Amino acid sequence: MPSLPNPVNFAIPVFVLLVAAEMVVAWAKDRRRYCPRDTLTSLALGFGSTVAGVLSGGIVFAMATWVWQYRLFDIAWAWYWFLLAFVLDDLAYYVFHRSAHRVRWFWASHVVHHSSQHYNLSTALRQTWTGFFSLGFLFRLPLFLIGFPPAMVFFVAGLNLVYQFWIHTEVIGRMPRWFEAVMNTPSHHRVHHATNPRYLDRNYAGVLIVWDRLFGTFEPERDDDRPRYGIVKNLGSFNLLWAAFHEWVGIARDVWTAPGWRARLGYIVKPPGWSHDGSRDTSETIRARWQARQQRQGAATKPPPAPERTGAPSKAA
Amino acid sequence: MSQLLLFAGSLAAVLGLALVARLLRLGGGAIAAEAEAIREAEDQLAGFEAAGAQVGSDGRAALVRGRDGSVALLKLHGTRVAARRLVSPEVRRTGAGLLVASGERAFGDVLVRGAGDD
Repeated sequence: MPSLPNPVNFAIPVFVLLVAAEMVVAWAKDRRRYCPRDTLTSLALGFGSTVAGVLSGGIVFAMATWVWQYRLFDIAWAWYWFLLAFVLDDLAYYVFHRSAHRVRWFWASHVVHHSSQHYNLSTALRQTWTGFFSLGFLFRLPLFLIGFPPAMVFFVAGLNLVYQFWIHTEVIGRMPRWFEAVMNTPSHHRVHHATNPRYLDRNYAGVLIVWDRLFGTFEPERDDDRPRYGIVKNLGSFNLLWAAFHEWVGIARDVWTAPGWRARLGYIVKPPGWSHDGSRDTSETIRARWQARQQRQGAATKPPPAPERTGAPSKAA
Repeated sequence: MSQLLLFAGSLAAVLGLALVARLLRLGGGAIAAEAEAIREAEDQLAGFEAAGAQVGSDGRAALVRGRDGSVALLKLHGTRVAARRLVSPEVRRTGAGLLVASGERAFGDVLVRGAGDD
Protein backbone atom coordinates (compact mmCIF):
# COMPACT_ATOMS: atom_id res chain seq x y z
CA MET A 1 0.00 0.00 0.00
CA PRO A 2 1.55 3.35 -1.01
CA SER A 3 2.07 5.88 1.73
CA LEU A 4 0.82 9.43 1.39
CA PRO A 5 1.95 12.57 3.20
CA ASN A 6 -0.22 14.22 5.85
CA PRO A 7 -1.55 17.41 4.17
CA VAL A 8 -1.89 19.09 7.57
CA ASN A 9 1.88 19.05 8.10
CA PHE A 10 2.39 20.96 4.86
CA ALA A 11 -0.37 23.43 5.72
CA ILE A 12 1.00 24.38 9.16
CA PRO A 13 3.30 27.20 7.89
CA VAL A 14 0.36 28.67 5.94
CA PHE A 15 -1.84 28.41 9.06
CA VAL A 16 0.75 30.33 11.07
CA LEU A 17 1.05 33.08 8.46
CA LEU A 18 -2.74 33.44 8.16
CA VAL A 19 -3.20 33.63 11.94
CA ALA A 20 -0.55 36.36 12.04
CA ALA A 21 -2.26 38.18 9.16
CA GLU A 22 -5.63 37.97 10.93
CA MET A 23 -4.03 39.41 14.06
CA VAL A 24 -2.88 42.39 12.03
CA VAL A 25 -6.43 42.84 10.71
CA ALA A 26 -7.71 42.69 14.31
CA TRP A 27 -5.09 45.27 15.33
CA ALA A 28 -6.32 47.59 12.58
CA LYS A 29 -10.08 47.02 13.00
CA ASP A 30 -11.04 45.63 16.40
CA ARG A 31 -8.41 44.56 18.92
CA ARG A 32 -10.98 42.61 20.93
CA ARG A 33 -11.18 39.98 18.20
CA TYR A 34 -8.01 38.52 19.65
CA CYS A 35 -7.09 38.06 23.27
CA PRO A 36 -3.44 37.06 23.81
CA ARG A 37 -4.25 34.62 26.64
CA ASP A 38 -7.10 33.01 24.72
CA THR A 39 -4.88 32.70 21.65
CA LEU A 40 -2.09 31.12 23.67
CA THR A 41 -4.58 28.66 25.20
CA SER A 42 -5.95 27.74 21.77
CA LEU A 43 -2.51 27.29 20.24
CA ALA A 44 -1.24 25.27 23.21
CA LEU A 45 -4.27 23.00 22.93
CA GLY A 46 -3.52 22.66 19.22
CA PHE A 47 0.07 21.73 19.94
CA GLY A 48 -0.99 19.16 22.52
CA SER A 49 -3.47 17.74 20.05
CA THR A 50 -0.68 17.30 17.50
CA VAL A 51 1.39 15.38 20.07
CA ALA A 52 -1.63 13.25 21.04
CA GLY A 53 -2.35 12.57 17.37
CA VAL A 54 1.18 11.35 16.73
CA LEU A 55 1.07 9.12 19.82
CA SER A 56 -2.22 7.49 18.85
CA GLY A 57 -1.86 7.68 15.06
CA GLY A 58 -0.03 4.36 14.75
CA ILE A 59 -2.73 2.47 16.65
CA VAL A 60 -5.53 4.09 14.65
CA PHE A 61 -3.79 3.26 11.37
CA ALA A 62 -3.20 -0.34 12.51
CA MET A 63 -6.88 -0.70 13.43
CA ALA A 64 -7.94 0.77 10.09
CA THR A 65 -5.67 -1.68 8.27
CA TRP A 66 -7.07 -4.57 10.29
CA VAL A 67 -10.66 -3.61 9.43
CA TRP A 68 -9.67 -3.09 5.77
CA GLN A 69 -8.79 -6.83 5.56
CA TYR A 70 -12.52 -7.52 5.64
CA ARG A 71 -13.36 -5.01 2.89
CA LEU A 72 -16.28 -5.54 0.55
CA PHE A 73 -14.55 -4.14 -2.55
CA ASP A 74 -11.02 -3.68 -3.85
CA ILE A 75 -10.67 0.01 -4.58
CA ALA A 76 -7.83 1.08 -6.85
CA TRP A 77 -5.59 4.15 -6.58
CA ALA A 78 -7.40 6.30 -9.11
CA TRP A 79 -8.30 10.00 -8.78
CA TYR A 80 -12.06 9.37 -8.92
CA TRP A 81 -11.83 7.01 -5.94
CA PHE A 82 -10.02 9.76 -4.05
CA LEU A 83 -12.90 12.05 -4.92
CA LEU A 84 -15.49 9.56 -3.71
CA ALA A 85 -13.43 8.87 -0.59
CA PHE A 86 -13.37 12.62 0.10
CA VAL A 87 -17.15 12.92 -0.19
CA LEU A 88 -17.88 9.82 1.92
CA ASP A 89 -15.30 10.83 4.50
CA ASP A 90 -17.01 14.21 4.70
CA LEU A 91 -20.31 12.42 5.32
CA ALA A 92 -18.64 10.30 8.02
CA TYR A 93 -17.33 13.55 9.50
CA TYR A 94 -20.85 14.97 9.56
CA VAL A 95 -22.11 11.92 11.47
CA PHE A 96 -19.17 12.06 13.86
CA HIS A 97 -19.57 15.80 14.40
CA ARG A 98 -23.31 15.56 15.02
CA SER A 99 -22.67 12.80 17.56
CA ALA A 100 -19.92 14.92 19.09
CA HIS A 101 -22.59 17.49 19.96
CA ARG A 102 -25.37 15.10 20.90
CA VAL A 103 -23.59 12.43 22.94
CA ARG A 104 -21.83 13.70 26.04
CA TRP A 105 -19.02 11.16 25.80
CA PHE A 106 -17.97 12.51 22.42
CA TRP A 107 -18.76 16.08 23.48
CA ALA A 108 -16.30 15.77 26.36
CA SER A 109 -13.56 15.56 23.76
CA HIS A 110 -15.00 17.97 21.19
CA VAL A 111 -16.00 20.72 23.64
CA VAL A 112 -12.37 21.85 23.71
CA HIS A 113 -12.75 23.20 20.18
CA HIS A 114 -15.81 25.25 21.22
CA SER A 115 -14.61 26.53 24.56
CA SER A 116 -13.11 29.77 23.28
CA GLN A 117 -15.41 32.79 23.38
CA HIS A 118 -13.53 34.09 20.36
CA TYR A 119 -13.95 33.10 16.77
CA ASN A 120 -10.76 33.54 14.82
CA LEU A 121 -8.23 31.40 13.01
CA SER A 122 -6.52 30.44 16.25
CA THR A 123 -9.84 28.85 17.31
CA ALA A 124 -9.47 26.43 14.39
CA LEU A 125 -6.28 25.14 15.96
CA ARG A 126 -7.88 24.69 19.39
CA GLN A 127 -8.24 20.92 19.29
CA THR A 128 -8.79 18.07 21.67
CA TRP A 129 -6.18 15.94 23.38
CA THR A 130 -8.59 13.08 23.98
CA GLY A 131 -9.86 12.30 20.50
CA PHE A 132 -8.45 8.77 20.57
CA PHE A 133 -9.77 8.08 24.06
CA SER A 134 -13.26 9.23 23.06
CA LEU A 135 -13.23 6.70 20.18
CA GLY A 136 -14.06 9.30 17.55
CA PHE A 137 -12.10 7.31 14.96
CA LEU A 138 -14.83 4.64 14.96
CA PHE A 139 -16.93 6.81 12.64
CA ARG A 140 -14.45 6.30 9.79
CA LEU A 141 -14.36 2.51 10.05
CA PRO A 142 -17.20 1.97 7.52
CA LEU A 143 -15.00 3.50 4.83
CA PHE A 144 -12.35 0.84 5.38
CA LEU A 145 -15.02 -1.86 5.38
CA ILE A 146 -16.24 -0.59 2.01
CA GLY A 147 -12.68 -0.98 0.76
CA PHE A 148 -11.08 2.47 0.70
CA PRO A 149 -7.40 2.01 1.58
CA PRO A 150 -6.51 3.55 4.98
CA ALA A 151 -3.79 5.76 3.45
CA MET A 152 -6.32 7.16 0.98
CA VAL A 153 -8.89 7.85 3.71
CA PHE A 154 -6.41 9.51 6.06
CA PHE A 155 -5.11 11.63 3.17
CA VAL A 156 -8.57 12.97 2.28
CA ALA A 157 -9.36 13.39 5.97
CA GLY A 158 -6.26 15.59 6.20
CA LEU A 159 -7.51 17.68 3.27
CA ASN A 160 -10.87 17.99 5.04
CA LEU A 161 -9.14 19.31 8.16
CA VAL A 162 -7.08 21.78 6.13
CA TYR A 163 -10.27 23.09 4.49
CA GLN A 164 -11.88 23.65 7.86
CA PHE A 165 -9.14 26.03 8.96
CA TRP A 166 -10.07 29.07 6.91
CA ILE A 167 -13.77 29.06 7.87
CA HIS A 168 -12.90 30.02 11.48
CA THR A 169 -12.90 33.74 10.91
CA GLU A 170 -15.05 36.84 11.21
CA VAL A 171 -12.94 38.65 8.64
CA ILE A 172 -14.87 37.07 5.77
CA GLY A 173 -18.56 37.95 5.62
CA ARG A 174 -20.33 35.83 3.04
CA MET A 175 -19.06 33.98 0.00
CA PRO A 176 -20.90 34.00 -3.38
CA ARG A 177 -24.38 32.45 -3.18
CA TRP A 178 -23.53 29.34 -5.18
CA PHE A 179 -20.60 28.67 -2.83
CA GLU A 180 -22.69 29.23 0.31
CA ALA A 181 -25.25 26.78 -1.10
CA VAL A 182 -22.83 23.88 -1.40
CA MET A 183 -19.79 24.49 0.76
CA ASN A 184 -19.23 25.11 4.43
CA THR A 185 -18.21 28.74 4.83
CA PRO A 186 -17.19 31.18 7.57
CA SER A 187 -20.82 32.31 7.80
CA HIS A 188 -22.21 28.78 8.21
CA HIS A 189 -19.53 27.82 10.70
CA ARG A 190 -19.97 30.95 12.79
CA VAL A 191 -23.50 29.68 13.35
CA HIS A 192 -22.10 26.34 14.44
CA HIS A 193 -19.86 27.98 17.05
CA ALA A 194 -22.57 30.26 18.36
CA THR A 195 -24.50 29.81 21.60
CA ASN A 196 -27.51 31.87 20.55
CA PRO A 197 -30.51 29.59 21.15
CA ARG A 198 -31.45 29.79 17.48
CA TYR A 199 -28.03 28.49 16.46
CA LEU A 200 -27.41 25.74 19.02
CA ASP A 201 -26.58 22.35 17.49
CA ARG A 202 -26.71 23.47 13.89
CA ASN A 203 -24.40 23.30 10.85
CA TYR A 204 -22.30 20.24 11.59
CA ALA A 205 -20.72 20.09 8.14
CA GLY A 206 -17.02 19.71 7.53
CA VAL A 207 -16.62 20.73 3.90
CA LEU A 208 -20.01 20.25 2.24
CA ILE A 209 -22.90 22.10 3.87
CA VAL A 210 -25.26 19.98 1.78
CA TRP A 211 -25.28 17.36 4.57
CA ASP A 212 -26.92 19.83 6.94
CA ARG A 213 -29.43 20.87 4.31
CA LEU A 214 -30.16 17.21 3.60
CA PHE A 215 -30.53 16.10 7.22
CA GLY A 216 -32.40 19.13 8.54
CA THR A 217 -29.69 20.68 10.70
CA PHE A 218 -28.96 23.75 8.59
CA GLU A 219 -29.44 27.25 9.98
CA PRO A 220 -28.37 30.38 8.08
CA GLU A 221 -26.56 33.22 9.83
CA ARG A 222 -28.77 36.23 10.39
CA ASP A 223 -27.68 39.82 10.50
CA ASP A 224 -30.22 40.55 13.27
CA ASP A 225 -28.87 37.77 15.50
CA ARG A 226 -25.11 38.08 15.57
CA PRO A 227 -23.38 34.94 16.82
CA ARG A 228 -22.09 34.85 20.38
CA TYR A 229 -19.31 32.33 20.67
CA GLY A 230 -18.32 29.82 23.29
CA ILE A 231 -20.24 27.18 25.18
CA VAL A 232 -23.45 27.31 27.20
CA LYS A 233 -21.41 27.46 30.40
CA ASN A 234 -18.26 29.36 29.46
CA LEU A 235 -15.11 28.28 31.24
CA GLY A 236 -14.10 31.61 32.73
CA SER A 237 -10.57 30.25 33.02
CA PHE A 238 -7.49 30.01 30.81
CA ASN A 239 -6.21 26.95 32.66
CA LEU A 240 -4.97 24.64 29.92
CA LEU A 241 -5.65 21.39 31.78
CA TRP A 242 -9.15 22.54 32.76
CA ALA A 243 -9.87 23.46 29.13
CA ALA A 244 -8.65 20.04 27.99
CA PHE A 245 -10.38 17.87 30.57
CA HIS A 246 -13.23 19.80 32.25
CA GLU A 247 -16.08 17.87 30.65
CA TRP A 248 -14.43 14.54 31.44
CA VAL A 249 -14.23 15.68 35.05
CA GLY A 250 -17.90 16.66 34.85
CA ILE A 251 -18.87 13.22 33.55
CA ALA A 252 -16.84 11.50 36.27
CA ARG A 253 -18.50 13.61 39.00
CA ASP A 254 -21.98 13.00 37.62
CA VAL A 255 -21.47 9.28 37.19
CA TRP A 256 -20.09 9.07 40.73
CA THR A 257 -23.07 10.82 42.29
CA ALA A 258 -25.83 9.53 39.98
CA PRO A 259 -28.66 7.59 41.61
CA GLY A 260 -28.54 4.25 39.82
CA TRP A 261 -27.16 2.75 36.62
CA ARG A 262 -29.76 4.24 34.32
CA ALA A 263 -28.78 7.75 35.41
CA ARG A 264 -25.07 6.85 35.21
CA LEU A 265 -25.47 5.73 31.62
CA GLY A 266 -27.52 8.84 30.87
CA TYR A 267 -24.71 11.11 32.03
CA ILE A 268 -22.42 9.39 29.51
CA VAL A 269 -24.56 8.90 26.42
CA LYS A 270 -27.34 11.50 26.64
CA PRO A 271 -26.89 14.99 25.16
CA PRO A 272 -24.76 17.54 27.00
CA GLY A 273 -26.81 19.23 29.72
CA TRP A 274 -29.01 16.20 30.35
CA SER A 275 -29.57 15.39 34.02
CA HIS A 276 -31.55 12.65 35.73
CA ASP A 277 -33.77 15.17 37.51
CA GLY A 278 -34.12 17.62 34.62
CA SER A 279 -32.43 20.37 36.60
CA ARG A 280 -29.99 21.37 33.84
CA ASP A 281 -30.32 22.89 30.41
CA THR A 282 -29.96 21.07 27.12
CA SER A 283 -30.02 22.73 23.71
CA GLU A 284 -33.71 21.81 23.46
CA THR A 285 -34.74 23.40 26.76
CA ILE A 286 -32.71 26.51 26.03
CA ARG A 287 -34.29 26.87 22.60
CA ALA A 288 -37.80 26.21 23.95
CA ARG A 289 -37.39 28.82 26.68
CA TRP A 290 -36.06 31.34 24.19
CA GLN A 291 -38.94 30.68 21.80
CA ALA A 292 -41.46 31.09 24.62
CA ARG A 293 -39.88 34.41 25.55
CA GLN A 294 -39.88 35.56 21.93
CA GLN A 295 -43.58 34.73 21.73
CA ARG A 296 -44.32 36.57 24.98
CA GLN A 297 -42.42 39.63 23.79
CA GLY A 298 -44.10 39.39 20.40
CA ALA A 299 -47.51 39.25 22.05
CA ALA A 300 -46.65 42.17 24.33
CA THR A 301 -45.47 44.42 21.50
CA LYS A 302 -48.14 43.36 19.01
CA PRO A 303 -50.53 46.25 18.30
CA PRO A 304 -54.19 45.61 19.11
CA PRO A 305 -56.23 44.46 16.11
CA ALA A 306 -57.63 47.34 14.09
CA PRO A 307 -61.42 47.69 14.04
CA GLU A 308 -62.95 46.06 11.00
CA ARG A 309 -63.85 48.39 8.19
CA THR A 310 -66.03 47.54 5.29
CA GLY A 311 -64.09 47.23 2.07
CA ALA A 312 -60.64 47.01 3.69
CA PRO A 313 -58.32 44.46 2.11
CA SER A 314 -58.13 41.23 4.10
CA LYS A 315 -54.34 41.09 3.85
CA ALA A 316 -51.63 43.62 3.56
CA ALA A 317 -49.73 43.54 0.29
CA MET B 1 13.35 12.96 13.36
CA SER B 2 10.68 14.54 11.14
CA GLN B 3 8.17 14.30 14.04
CA LEU B 4 10.61 16.06 16.33
CA LEU B 5 11.02 18.77 13.70
CA LEU B 6 7.24 19.08 13.47
CA PHE B 7 6.93 19.43 17.26
CA ALA B 8 9.78 21.94 17.49
CA GLY B 9 8.38 24.00 14.61
CA SER B 10 4.85 23.93 16.04
CA LEU B 11 6.06 24.97 19.48
CA ALA B 12 8.09 27.82 17.99
CA ALA B 13 5.01 28.91 16.01
CA VAL B 14 2.83 28.85 19.15
CA LEU B 15 5.25 31.02 21.08
CA GLY B 16 5.84 33.30 18.08
CA LEU B 17 2.14 33.93 17.52
CA ALA B 18 1.52 34.51 21.22
CA LEU B 19 4.31 37.08 21.12
CA VAL B 20 2.81 38.78 18.04
CA ALA B 21 -0.58 39.01 19.80
CA ARG B 22 1.09 40.64 22.78
CA LEU B 23 3.24 43.01 20.72
CA LEU B 24 0.19 44.17 18.77
CA ARG B 25 -1.48 44.88 22.12
CA LEU B 26 -4.53 42.88 21.11
CA GLY B 27 -7.28 42.39 23.64
CA GLY B 28 -8.64 44.90 26.11
CA GLY B 29 -12.22 45.67 26.93
CA ALA B 30 -14.40 46.02 29.99
CA ILE B 31 -18.00 45.78 31.10
CA ALA B 32 -18.86 49.30 30.17
CA ALA B 33 -22.26 49.89 31.74
CA GLU B 34 -25.27 48.35 33.46
CA ALA B 35 -27.02 47.83 30.13
CA GLU B 36 -24.10 45.77 28.86
CA ALA B 37 -24.03 43.70 32.04
CA ILE B 38 -27.76 43.01 31.73
CA ARG B 39 -27.43 42.05 28.08
CA GLU B 40 -24.52 39.70 28.81
CA ALA B 41 -26.38 38.04 31.68
CA GLU B 42 -29.55 37.52 29.65
CA ASP B 43 -27.62 36.33 26.60
CA GLN B 44 -25.44 33.85 28.46
CA LEU B 45 -27.83 32.45 31.04
CA ALA B 46 -30.84 30.71 29.56
CA GLY B 47 -34.11 32.10 30.91
CA PHE B 48 -32.45 34.75 33.07
CA GLU B 49 -34.42 37.99 33.19
CA ALA B 50 -32.58 40.89 34.74
CA ALA B 51 -34.06 43.42 37.12
CA GLY B 52 -30.97 45.57 37.61
CA ALA B 53 -27.20 45.52 37.67
CA GLN B 54 -24.21 46.84 39.50
CA VAL B 55 -20.96 47.08 37.55
CA GLY B 56 -17.58 47.16 39.25
CA SER B 57 -15.81 50.48 39.08
CA ASP B 58 -12.96 48.88 37.10
CA GLY B 59 -15.36 47.26 34.60
CA ARG B 60 -13.97 43.82 35.35
CA ALA B 61 -17.01 42.33 37.07
CA ALA B 62 -20.70 42.88 37.65
CA LEU B 63 -23.64 41.56 39.62
CA VAL B 64 -26.98 41.38 37.87
CA ARG B 65 -30.16 40.84 39.88
CA GLY B 66 -32.69 38.48 38.35
CA ARG B 67 -36.45 38.90 38.56
CA ASP B 68 -36.66 35.45 40.14
CA GLY B 69 -34.30 36.40 42.98
CA SER B 70 -31.24 34.71 41.49
CA VAL B 71 -28.09 36.66 40.71
CA ALA B 72 -25.85 36.63 37.65
CA LEU B 73 -22.19 36.95 38.45
CA LEU B 74 -20.19 38.34 35.54
CA LYS B 75 -16.46 38.60 35.21
CA LEU B 76 -14.25 39.82 32.43
CA HIS B 77 -12.50 36.82 30.89
CA GLY B 78 -9.86 38.09 28.51
CA THR B 79 -11.77 40.44 26.27
CA ARG B 80 -15.07 38.63 26.80
CA VAL B 81 -17.44 38.15 29.71
CA ALA B 82 -18.12 34.86 31.48
CA ALA B 83 -21.24 34.42 33.59
CA ARG B 84 -22.59 32.21 36.34
CA ARG B 85 -26.08 32.10 37.80
CA LEU B 86 -26.10 31.95 41.60
CA VAL B 87 -29.22 31.13 43.56
CA SER B 88 -27.94 32.01 47.00
CA PRO B 89 -24.63 33.76 46.43
CA GLU B 90 -21.98 33.80 49.09
CA VAL B 91 -20.96 37.45 49.25
CA ARG B 92 -18.29 39.01 51.43
CA ARG B 93 -17.88 42.74 51.85
CA THR B 94 -14.24 43.81 51.61
CA GLY B 95 -12.55 47.18 51.62
CA ALA B 96 -12.36 47.07 47.80
CA GLY B 97 -15.91 45.97 47.12
CA LEU B 98 -17.98 42.80 47.16
CA LEU B 99 -16.19 39.48 46.87
CA VAL B 100 -18.58 36.92 45.39
CA ALA B 101 -17.86 33.20 45.54
CA SER B 102 -18.78 31.44 42.30
CA GLY B 103 -18.61 28.04 43.97
CA GLU B 104 -16.27 26.79 41.23
CA ARG B 105 -12.53 26.54 41.65
CA ALA B 106 -11.75 27.27 38.00
CA PHE B 107 -14.09 30.28 37.81
CA GLY B 108 -12.88 31.55 41.17
CA ASP B 109 -14.12 34.26 43.49
CA VAL B 110 -14.95 37.52 41.77
CA LEU B 111 -14.40 41.00 43.17
CA VAL B 112 -16.99 43.55 42.11
CA ARG B 113 -14.89 46.59 42.86
CA GLY B 114 -16.63 49.48 44.53
CA ALA B 115 -19.89 47.55 44.92
CA GLY B 116 -21.77 47.47 48.18
CA ASP B 117 -21.06 51.07 49.02
CA ASP B 118 -24.66 52.13 48.55
